[in-house]
Amino acid sequence: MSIEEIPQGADVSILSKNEKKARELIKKLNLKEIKGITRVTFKQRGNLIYAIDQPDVYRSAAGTYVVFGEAKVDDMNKRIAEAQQQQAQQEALTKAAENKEDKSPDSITADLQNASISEGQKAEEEDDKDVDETGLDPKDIDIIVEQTQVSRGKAVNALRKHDGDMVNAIMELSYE
Amino acid sequence: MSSNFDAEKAENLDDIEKQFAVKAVVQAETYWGLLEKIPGSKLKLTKHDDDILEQFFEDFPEFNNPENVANIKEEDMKSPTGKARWREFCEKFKEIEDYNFGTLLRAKASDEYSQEGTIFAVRIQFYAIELARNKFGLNDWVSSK
Repeated sequence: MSIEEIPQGADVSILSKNEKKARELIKKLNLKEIKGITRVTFKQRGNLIYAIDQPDVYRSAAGTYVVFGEAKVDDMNKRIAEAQQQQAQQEALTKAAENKEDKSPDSITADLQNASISEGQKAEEEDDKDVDETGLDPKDIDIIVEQTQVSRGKAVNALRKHDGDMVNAIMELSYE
Repeated sequence: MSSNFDAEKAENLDDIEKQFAVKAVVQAETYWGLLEKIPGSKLKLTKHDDDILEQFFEDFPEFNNPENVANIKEEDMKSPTGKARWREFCEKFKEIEDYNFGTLLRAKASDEYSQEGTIFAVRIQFYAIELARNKFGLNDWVSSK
């Protein structure tokens, strides 16, 4: 039976020849199958997660694990971003509901003030041209920008946060 | 253990300990990345580079000599007297970020990070020795490879 003959969505797992061979070989190595594991995840740098649902897990006497299954990429950064977005939306909704009937001049002024404050914050975050570099060596900032490909503003913030420590600043920007 | 392995109760303590090792390796990779781009003699590591070097040469005059700082002997560093001298030095830099974090240090300035040629030190020891190596130009070969 070739792959094309299996209807889509059918509950059949197809093992490639190589995988079949590998499984047979590994079974000969005296591995014990561990039942009841529903998910195995691998975490790579940058919060990239590879997840295997319903894996076949074998364990050797020495404590090494062999895992079979289809790995799917699970991007944690994306998930976190989605969750934050949802939360922000919900908060906006509750706020909107609270403010619905309040149309007095006072509340309008307050709204305008809030809006201008949040705009100011945004500008601070995004404006890279006017970054305050006092007390820092522009060459250090150049190096960090070059090594991590972040904006100058971010490089300055990281350098300040780590009190001028180059390696720690670069580590934070590239790995965390 | 394999027969009564229960995923729900499995402990992960080992993994937590390995996190320190992961951080040390990332730190080493990051430093090496810098050395590959910028000659060590032109590289700045912290705001306190000058203070660290000055104190280092004062407390360990023997390291104010390219030959001695190029090759670090782990047995000297970790002998009872060596430990006492280093401890006193380290405590002078408490205000520096991660000053007592476990950090990988190359035994020889002429080698890359390798399994045999790496000493487990603390961050301030790494700074002192690497700053001295950079000052003497002992790491400049990395960027001109």
